[in-house]
Amino acid sequence: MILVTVGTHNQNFDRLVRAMDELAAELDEPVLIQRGSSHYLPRHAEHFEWASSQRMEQLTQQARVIVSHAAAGSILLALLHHKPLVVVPRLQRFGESIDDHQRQLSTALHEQGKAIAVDPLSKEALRLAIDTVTQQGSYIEGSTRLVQAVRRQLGLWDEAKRRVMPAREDI
Amino acid sequence: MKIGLVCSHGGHLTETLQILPAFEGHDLFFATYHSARDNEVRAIAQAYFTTNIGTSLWRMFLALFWSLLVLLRERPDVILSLGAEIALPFFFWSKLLGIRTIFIESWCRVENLSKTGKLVYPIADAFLVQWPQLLKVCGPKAQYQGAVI
Repeated sequence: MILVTVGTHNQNFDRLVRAMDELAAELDEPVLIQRGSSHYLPRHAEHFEWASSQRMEQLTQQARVIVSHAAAGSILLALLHHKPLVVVPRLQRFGESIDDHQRQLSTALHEQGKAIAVDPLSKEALRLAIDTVTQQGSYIEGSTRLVQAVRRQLGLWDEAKRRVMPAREDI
Repeated sequence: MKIGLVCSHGGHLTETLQILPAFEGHDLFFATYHSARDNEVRAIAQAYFTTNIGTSLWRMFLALFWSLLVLLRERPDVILSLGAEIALPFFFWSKLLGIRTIFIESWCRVENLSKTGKLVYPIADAFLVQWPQLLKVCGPKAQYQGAVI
């Protein structure tokens, strides 16, 4: 199953929903689209508006390939489950995002080999990307360093607070 | 310490959940937007919800009151946010109330800061970015210490 997700963003991503729906008509594999705020209703693919993150996680596990808008949440979900990932940036000029930061993220991921970016978007580009990404692995580094950095900062402040206001048992 | 995690729904929430181990041993609460994941957030800690502010100045104005009520009720030592605009009212009041703040720019920001990032940079006590190339466009306060993945 190919899982397509456009997240919880309040702007539509009709371009991706429509292109994947049209591609679904030509594929043997089922396509499931989380369409979010998009207006276009798929005719060939199964679709739904939103789901809980538990449900999205289940669907991600079941999917063979993820096709996602280039947003952190959806990308993290796919990479954490080691799923081959195709990303498509939302663009400002189509009213899909407030700016074009998704293009930068999708380009960076593409260069690092963590995902295949489809930009410009077309049905044929999606088909090619899905074929290509299936042959690649998935990538994960983990959040350990960031977690430790935040812990360290909180620890410093906690210590400073204890010095100023000692806990009752310390007095 | 008591730490308030302030984030929009969607990806910002997913990123925040990736670094939960950083807060072990501290009290937590969430301030976020309503979404299909409300119960998931409530299961982790006390949670306060509001509707998506987005770019609406009117809703940002309302959020100023809401965020102040949350802060006065919870009295946190630290406010941490991975974005987005929901961080603005909380960082504003935190500066006035002497609450420490950590802003971590979302992983989705590779080459330029978000509007929220630019606005909170001057007042955040700690400012982290998740891509090293972002350091070039930030002031000296910004640090790169890895990412949520």
